[in-house]
Amino acid sequence: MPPQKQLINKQIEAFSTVEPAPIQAENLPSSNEANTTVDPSKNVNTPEMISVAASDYFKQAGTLRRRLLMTILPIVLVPLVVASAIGFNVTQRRAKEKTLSNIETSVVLASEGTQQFIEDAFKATNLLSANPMVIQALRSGSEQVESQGLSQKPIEQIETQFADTKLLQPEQNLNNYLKAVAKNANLAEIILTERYGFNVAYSSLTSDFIQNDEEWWQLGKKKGQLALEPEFDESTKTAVLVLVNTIKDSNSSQLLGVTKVGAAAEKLNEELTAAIGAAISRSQQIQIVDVYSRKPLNTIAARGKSKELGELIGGQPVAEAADLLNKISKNLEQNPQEAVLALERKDGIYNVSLRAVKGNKKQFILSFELNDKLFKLKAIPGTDLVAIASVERTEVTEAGHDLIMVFTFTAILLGVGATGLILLLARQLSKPLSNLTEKAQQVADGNLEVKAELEGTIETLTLAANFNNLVDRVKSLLQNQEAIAQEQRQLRETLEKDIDLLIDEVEGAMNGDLTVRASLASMEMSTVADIFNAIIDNLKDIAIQVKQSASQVSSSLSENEQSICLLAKQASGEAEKTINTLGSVEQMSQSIEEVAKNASRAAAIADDAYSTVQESSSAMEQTVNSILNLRTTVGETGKKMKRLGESSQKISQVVSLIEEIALKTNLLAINASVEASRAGEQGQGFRIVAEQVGALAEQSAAATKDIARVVAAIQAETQDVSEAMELGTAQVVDSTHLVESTKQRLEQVLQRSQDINQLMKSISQATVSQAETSRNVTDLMQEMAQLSEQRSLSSGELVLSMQTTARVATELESTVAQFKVDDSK
Amino acid sequence: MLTSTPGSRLQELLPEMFQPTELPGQPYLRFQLTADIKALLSMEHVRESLLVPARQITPLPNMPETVIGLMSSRERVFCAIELDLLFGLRPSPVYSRQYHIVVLRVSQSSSQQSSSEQELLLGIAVNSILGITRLISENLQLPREDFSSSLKPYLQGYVVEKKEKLLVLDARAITTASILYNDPT
Repeated sequence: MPPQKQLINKQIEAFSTVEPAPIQAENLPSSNEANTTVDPSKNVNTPEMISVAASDYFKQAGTLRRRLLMTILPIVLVPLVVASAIGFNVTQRRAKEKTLSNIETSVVLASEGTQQFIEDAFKATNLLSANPMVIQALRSGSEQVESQGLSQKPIEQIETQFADTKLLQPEQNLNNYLKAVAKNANLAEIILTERYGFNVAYSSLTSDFIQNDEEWWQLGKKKGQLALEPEFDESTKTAVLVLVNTIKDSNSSQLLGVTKVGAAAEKLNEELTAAIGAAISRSQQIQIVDVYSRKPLNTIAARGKSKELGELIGGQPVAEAADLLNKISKNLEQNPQEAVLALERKDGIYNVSLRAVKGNKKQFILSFELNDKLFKLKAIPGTDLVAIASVERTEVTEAGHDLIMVFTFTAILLGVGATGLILLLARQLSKPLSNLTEKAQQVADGNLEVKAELEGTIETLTLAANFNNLVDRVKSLLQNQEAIAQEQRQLRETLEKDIDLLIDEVEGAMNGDLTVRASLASMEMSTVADIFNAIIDNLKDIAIQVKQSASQVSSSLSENEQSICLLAKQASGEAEKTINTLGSVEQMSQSIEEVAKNASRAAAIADDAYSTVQESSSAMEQTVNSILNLRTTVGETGKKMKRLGESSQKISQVVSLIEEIALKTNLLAINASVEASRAGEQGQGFRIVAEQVGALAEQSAAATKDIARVVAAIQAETQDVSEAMELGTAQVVDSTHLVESTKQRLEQVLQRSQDINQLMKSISQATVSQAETSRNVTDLMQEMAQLSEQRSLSSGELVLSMQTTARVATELESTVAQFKVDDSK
Repeated sequence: MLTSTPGSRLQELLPEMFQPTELPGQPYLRFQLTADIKALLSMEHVRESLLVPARQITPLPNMPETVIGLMSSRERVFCAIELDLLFGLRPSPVYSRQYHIVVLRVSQSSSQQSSSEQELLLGIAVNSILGITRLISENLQLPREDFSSSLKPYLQGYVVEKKEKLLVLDARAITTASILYNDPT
């Protein structure tokens, strides 16, 4: 097959494939595989495409198993956790309450124990009043006091009197009895006084003999049975509970005496520890505190750590709370609830509450929290003592904490079990579906021989059966399509043969032979051959026309080329001239700029001249002024000269007078001399004197002559000077006139120079605008030069393109010459 | 003369007044004969010197030009003449407001008149009276030929003092000048 034919074949194939499925044309692997081009499966979306498109969606969806896990697990686990938490909470609260009630119980117990202890002590004293020996001793003691009047005597005197025994009537039996009683009743001491307060007996030696000045005695006498403030002994670290009682006549109920009983706190401590020690938890501590001294009698702690005294736990705030509770218990406080509320937030106390003891409305328990401790207080009735129980709050909160482990463990165990169950269930549910999915995937990959197994629930069974049916139907459809494709291929082969024939016939046209004719033999291709013949005829006509036109074009081009060359030359000449003009314009603009500079300089010089002339005008004015001054000065000098002349005239008058006098004197002297000579020898001396006087007068005359001469000279000179002065005045007047006229001229010069200045300025402005204009002209000229240069270039290009056009035309002519045309036409 | 205060000078002069001291030479009156010529006259013949206004001199008719007129002094009347005219030093008299007059006194011998010794008084008007000069007679030189003839009869001689020539006149000759006594007619 020749290459041209192959090409045409390809083009035809391309047409035929494009028509049915234009989108698929690019996917064709080769032209020879006809079955693939008509494969209907290509028209539907392939499984790969589905998988690619849906993969994102699949990722979002997740498997059925995971879904089941994600939904069911929380539903099971959350209630489990919540139930565990609630259970733990309730249990812990109960444990706390239990701890609290435990503390309360211990407080109540401690208070009751203490009360019991005190009552026991009072019982011991009550025993005394039942003893006749004691009563006898008291009565005799009182009688002794009355008889001796001891109550009237000063205390010091009585003290010294009974210093030995400190007793009214020393009676060892009674003392021994008291000792025995004290020992039996666990008492520290017993003192017995009669009704005036003097010692009658004691269990151990006392410091004082007279007790009626002591507080305990007075209080006891007044109130009867009474528990007083404990006495603390810091040195021995012991405390004694002081109890006072009165002894009265059983018949007359007359006061017989007063007893003081000291009960050691140690004993109380022992009793209380025995009673409640077992019930005390770890950090719990119980103290019996005296509200007045604010000191604890004892401290009972867990595991036998009980001890006497010690520090009050909680310090000042707790002591104040105890005081308050004591007052409430004794009905001293009007409004107990408000007083208790006032404690809240005071000194760090909080969560304060007050309530009555169960079964006894008159006794209260005050509870509050301070720092990290929980306090419960209860007053001991009949005393100023308060039982205080304290426990670390952490202990209360920690109560039941051990349970959390149990709850957590149980919850985890249950959770693990539930998860396992759910996993199993999910796997069972999802297995048939996933199998089915795998089969569907295989079918989608092209394997149509696959059969889905029937398993699982009814839903999955139905799904599998339907799937199998679907696969069978697809298979049959595919077979039908293959048959149709075979038919089409045969048709195509016959068409190809016809086309080959046609191509053989018209092959000459490819080499320019326009005389060839296609035969109209084939049925299918007859129309095509007919059209082809018509095309060849048209082409022939066109070729002839083209030939003629090409020859015309080339001839006209050769004519045009010369004129275009001329045009290009002219254009380049024009550009050169423009450039020359530009140069001269630039020179002109430079010279204009120079003129502008010179003009401005001239303006500056004219300005200078103007200012100079102004200055000289003012100088001239000054000159005029000074000349006028000179004139007045000269006039004054003239006057003075005249006065001088007058004065010299006066001088000459005076001088002539003097001269005359001198002359007369001289004459007189001569005469005197004559007279003296007449007198003879006697007048000789006088004569000489007269002669000397005469000589003197002669000299004065000579001197006056000199003076006269000098004065005459002065007068003459004065005359000369005044004449010169007059001349000078006239000259001054002349020069004043001259200066005036000069000034006027200068003013004219000033005016002129101003005019010149303005003219120069206007010239300078004009030249500046001229320079600008010339610059604009230069710019324009430059643009013009550029334009003409471009024009010359483009005309050159035009020439070149004309030449190429000519070449193309000749080429066209030669090409057209290849066409073989029937010369008959 | 020396220049000093008048007081000191008076003190100097006063004792001299009463202490007669011999001065060398004879006293002569010195005067200006004309503007150029100075002359001396012996004080021996000078009676007084006066400054006389012109109206006090009574002019005399029919008298030579030399004679000014008549004048009086100290109860005596005498003639006054112009000396320079007498000496022919000036051609014609000039009228002046006042005259410097030297009154000469010459004792006349009894040769002419029988009467006893008579005094002849004559006033001579000079240019100006200068003063008194003492002259030692040895210094006097005799008049030489170069003096004019009109002057010569009245000359005694001349002295040169301070390079100045002073004429020494003869008072007697002047008083007895013939022209005064001769009738001009």
